[in-house]
Amino acid sequence: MGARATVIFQFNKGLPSDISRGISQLENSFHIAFQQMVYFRKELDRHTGKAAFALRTKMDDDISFLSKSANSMLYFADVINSFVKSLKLVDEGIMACSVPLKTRAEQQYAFSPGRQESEIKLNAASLKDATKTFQTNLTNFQEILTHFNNLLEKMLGNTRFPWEDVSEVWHEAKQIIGVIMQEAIMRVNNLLNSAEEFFVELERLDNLIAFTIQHEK
Amino acid sequence: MRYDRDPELANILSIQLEEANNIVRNAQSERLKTIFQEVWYKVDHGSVSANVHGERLEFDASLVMDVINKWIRNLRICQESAINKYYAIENPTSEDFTRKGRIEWDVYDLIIYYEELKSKVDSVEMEFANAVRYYRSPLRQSLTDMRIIYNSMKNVKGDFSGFENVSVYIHGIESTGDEFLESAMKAASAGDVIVYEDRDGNKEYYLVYFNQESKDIDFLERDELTPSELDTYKMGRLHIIYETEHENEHRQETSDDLAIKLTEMGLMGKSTLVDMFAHSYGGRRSFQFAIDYPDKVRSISTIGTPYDTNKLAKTANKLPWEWIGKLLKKEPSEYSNYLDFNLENKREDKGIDHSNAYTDLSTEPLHDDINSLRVANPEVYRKLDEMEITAVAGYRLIFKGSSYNPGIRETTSDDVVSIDSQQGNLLGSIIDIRLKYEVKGVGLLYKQGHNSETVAEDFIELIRNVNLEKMGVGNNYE
Repeated sequence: MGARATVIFQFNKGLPSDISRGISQLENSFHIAFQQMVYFRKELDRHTGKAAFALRTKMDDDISFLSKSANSMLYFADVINSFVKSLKLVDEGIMACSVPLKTRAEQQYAFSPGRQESEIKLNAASLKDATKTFQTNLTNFQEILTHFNNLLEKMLGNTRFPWEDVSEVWHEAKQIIGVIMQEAIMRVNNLLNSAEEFFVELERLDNLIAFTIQHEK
Repeated sequence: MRYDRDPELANILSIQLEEANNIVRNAQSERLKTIFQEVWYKVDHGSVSANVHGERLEFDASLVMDVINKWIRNLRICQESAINKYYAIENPTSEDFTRKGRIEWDVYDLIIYYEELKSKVDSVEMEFANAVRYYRSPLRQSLTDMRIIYNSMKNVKGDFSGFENVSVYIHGIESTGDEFLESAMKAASAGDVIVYEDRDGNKEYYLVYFNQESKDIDFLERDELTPSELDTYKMGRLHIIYETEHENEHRQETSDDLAIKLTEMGLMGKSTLVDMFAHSYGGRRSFQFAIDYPDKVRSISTIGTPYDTNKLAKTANKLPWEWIGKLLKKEPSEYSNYLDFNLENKREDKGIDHSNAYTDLSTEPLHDDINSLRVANPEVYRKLDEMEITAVAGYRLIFKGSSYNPGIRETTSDDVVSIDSQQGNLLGSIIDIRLKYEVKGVGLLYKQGHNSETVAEDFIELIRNVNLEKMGVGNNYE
């Protein structure tokens, strides 16, 4: 049947509650911020010209990166959460089968740009609302992302898995996760910095359209 | 505490009790404490009372076993010493005899308790291992996802980065990649590269070129490829004969491993697309990879694949593995450290819960997974629907009738999988093309048609055509 490897693992018992809270906070804040990013991206489709094109390209890239990285980080955290909860249940003598886990396919769909886009309706009122709250939501998201990064570091430092093929890549995995999280935080920071310029540009493009229409009349 | 215990033995047990408490304290495990207490009650020398309400749980079964084995050794030394001392006494008294006997029998009992403790530690280890085996695959997948993101960010390349068209060939259960190597070589075009790594880690490389003398395709075999050779051939197709780490591993395990392999090779970037060719259970393995990485897979072509559950696999899954293994040279109990969340899709062997190809074929028709996917992620479902998927059914021609009225008919299976299942009829429009090819064979018990499908001429022709079509018509190397 094959040799049985010895089981070795370690984790902090308080991890599940920390992770659950972290996942929930990140999902909520990312959901709002991401929705608005996709919303503004869709708004840009109404505009032509070099400035609009440049903004669109930049936003596409950021949305794609943030969607993939957020999904993979959340899934990763969820897996570890379920892993640790299962161990705790066994340790407490509860013979549970497994702690349910969202599938990877479900997680990937959670923050899919296509899905968000299909749910968005553009109109003057929603644009005004989104403009007012975008910077606040992005700031909130950035803070929670930083907190989540700290949580991941704590989790990675204190958790050991009973599988050799995972242990072998764990050190490298920690570095990779760190790099991705820093990139995500940096991109949100850049988005925050360029939000003001972005709104000015949107207004300019809107005015340009209005002027053009007026002129044609 | 036993009042009549020999003082020397009592000292040893006091040390062992302290070590037991250290083990429990370091582990901070309730389960471990419980089993130590249960056994220590029988030892009857103090109690295991270490506090386990700390923050960190750390379990290393091998360390615990090492300590218990050391205890057993020390007890045996004590026992032997007591016996030797007794026989060294010139005129032993009845007290000497009683002392020797007391130690001898006490140690005998203690070793039985410690062996029981080891068995309990073993059971706890098994419980932990079974509970978390579910999460190994998801964890590997998420690490691969992050690796792919990182490689894209940092523009990390692999040895085979730059190949835009890749064919991956996946075999079925109880099989190797040998036959697909033969097929790939027949289907390859000049300018292609073939890579075959078997499960023992032996690698073979073939550069495909047009031999001007013979006016035919020929091969340069290599133990490794130089960067300049790879650069020269990057406009051609890369053929990867993929051999699974375990013959009968579950399709999810194959998908996870293949993703890691392709990432290492530098083939998970945006510019590379994969055409998959598969035989038998390899078709399910290909589907799994396509579900997991739908942006990578351009087409799937399968032959002999049981898309429905399979009766033969169900039977094999239920029979005692020793009997099956020896008689039929099959291994339905093969273990690859994968456990599916579907509770029916598993088996237990020697206390270990696991899932493999046999459990999958016994319990999960592929259309169930596809239907779940439709709900969980409609975008991936749509990509799967748009992928070009060809399901080929192998069949044999058999004689019917009499010598006066001879005739032939087609079998309704390839001796192992029904035509209906091979063509994935329950998958509906997910399968774009359904074909049937005649294959050679005799019957279920001898030379099954199923086993000759990989090298069937029609299937090789299909592989060739798909490979050429996906690259455009012809290439520049002929």
